[in-house]
Amino acid sequence: MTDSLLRLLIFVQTVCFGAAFVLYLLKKTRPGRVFWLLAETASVTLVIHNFLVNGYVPFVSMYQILTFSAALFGAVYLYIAYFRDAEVRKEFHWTAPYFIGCSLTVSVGLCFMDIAAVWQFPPALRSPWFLPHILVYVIAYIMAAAAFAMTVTKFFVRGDRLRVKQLDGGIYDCVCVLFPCMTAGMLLGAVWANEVWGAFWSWDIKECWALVTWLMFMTWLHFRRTPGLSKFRDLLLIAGFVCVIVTFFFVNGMNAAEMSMHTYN
Amino acid sequence: MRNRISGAVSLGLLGITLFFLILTVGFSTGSSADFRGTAVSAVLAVGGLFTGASLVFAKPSGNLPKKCGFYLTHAGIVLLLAGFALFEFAGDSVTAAVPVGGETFYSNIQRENGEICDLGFHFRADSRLIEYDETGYETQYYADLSFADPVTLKIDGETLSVNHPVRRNGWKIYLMSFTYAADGTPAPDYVNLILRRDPGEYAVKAGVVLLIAGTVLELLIGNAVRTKSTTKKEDGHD
Repeated sequence: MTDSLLRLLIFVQTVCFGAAFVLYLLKKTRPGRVFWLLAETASVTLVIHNFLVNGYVPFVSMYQILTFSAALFGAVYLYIAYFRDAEVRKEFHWTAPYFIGCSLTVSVGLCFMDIAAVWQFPPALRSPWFLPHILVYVIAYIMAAAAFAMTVTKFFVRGDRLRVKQLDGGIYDCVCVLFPCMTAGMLLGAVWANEVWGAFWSWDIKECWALVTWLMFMTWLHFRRTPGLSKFRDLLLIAGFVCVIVTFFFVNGMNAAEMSMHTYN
Repeated sequence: MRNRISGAVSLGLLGITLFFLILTVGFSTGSSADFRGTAVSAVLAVGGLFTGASLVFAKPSGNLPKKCGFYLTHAGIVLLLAGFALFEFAGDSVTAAVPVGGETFYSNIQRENGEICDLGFHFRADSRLIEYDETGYETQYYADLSFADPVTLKIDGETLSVNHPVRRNGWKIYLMSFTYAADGTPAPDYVNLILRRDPGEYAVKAGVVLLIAGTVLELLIGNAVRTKSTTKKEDGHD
C-alpha cells in the first residue's frame, strides 16, 4: 500500500470512529455500531498491513503501536462486554462510547504521525519476550485510558448517584483488566532484563516510571476497599493515567534517558 | 479494627508510591537519586514486611479465585523482595572487558574500585562475530568463549550471544557489546561482559509467576465469575 492510501485509510478510520462516537452519544447505537465496525475494519487492515511490511509483530514504531491500540480498544471492549458472565455484560454495554472515544483520540493522533518511520531492532530487542511484554502493556494502557475517560466523566455527573455508581463499576472493570496486564508487562520485562542485561531491575528511568505507575494503580485498588479513603481514589486514577502518559510518551525525551537501557538510538 | 488496618495499609502504600514518585520526578529532572541507598532499601523492606503480615492476618473476601489470588499476589511480592534482598546480601556482579583471541585464561576480574573478584573458573574469549540483516543493520552479536578446568586441564567452549547468557559455576555471563581496536594498531578487540552471581534468581522468578497468577486470579477470573449476589453490593462490584 502506498503512503497516500494508508493516509486515506487512517482518515476513513478517524471519520468512522468520530461518527460512531457521536451516534453512540445520541443513543443511536445501531448505526453507531455499523460505523464502529467500519472503523475497526480499517484499523485491523492497517495492523495487518504493518505486520506484512515488518514480517514481524507490528510494534516497530510509535505509529504502529498506536495503530494497534486503536484497533485493540474495540477488541478489549468486546472481551468484557461479550465474553464474560451475563451480569458483567449487562453492566458494561454503556461503556462503548468511552472505548470509541479513546480509539478516536488515538486515530486523530495517527493522522499527524510519520507513518514511514521505523525503529531499528538492535540485538537486545530480538527476543521472544518482546511480544508478550509490549502486548500486555498496550492492553494495560488502553484500559487505563478508558478508565481515565470514565473518571473524568464522573466529575461532570457528580449529582447523579446512579450514574456515578455505574461509572464506578465500569472503572473497576477496566482496572480488573489493566492491573494484571500491567503487572505481567512489568514483570515479564524484568525477567527479560535478567536475560539480556544481567539484572532484573536497574532503576532505569523507564523502569522507575513503570514502577510508580504500577504502584498508583495498586494503591487505587487498596483505596477502593478502604472506607473513608475510597473517595480519593479518582485522584489516584488520574495520577496513574498521567504516569502512563509520561512512561509511554515522554520518558525517552528526558535527560536521564541518555543513560537509559531502554534507549536504543 | 479491620477498617483501621485497611486504612493504615492503604495510607502506607500511598506513602511508598509518593516516595518513589518524588525520587523518580527528581531523577527525571536531572537531580541525583540514590535508588540503591538505605532509604529505598528500608522502604522496600517495610513494604515487604507489611505484605508478609497481610498474608498472615488479612482475611480476604469474595469467591475462591479472589481468595486464592489474594494469597498468591501477596506471597509473590514477598518472594520477589526476598529474591532481590538475597542478591544484595549474597550476590555479586562484575563487568569485564576480555581481549579476543588471546591465549590467557582469566579467573580474576578487577572491579572498578580495584578489588579483585575471583570467579572460581577460568575463561577466555576466542572469537567474536556480528550478524547483519540485508540492510546492513546489526542483528546479533556472538562471542565464542573457552572454559578451562585448572585440575584436569580440559577445555570446553560455549557460544554467547545477546539475550542468551551462559551459566558457569553459579555465575551467569552476559554479552553486552564489543570494543574495537583502532585500525592499524596491534591491540586486540574486546568482548564486554557482565558476570552475575544471583542466589535470589529463582526466588524472584517464583515471585513473578505467583504475582502474575495472583492478579489474574483475583481481578480477571475472580471478577468474571462474580455472581448476582455480589453485584448487588454497594458499588455493584467486588
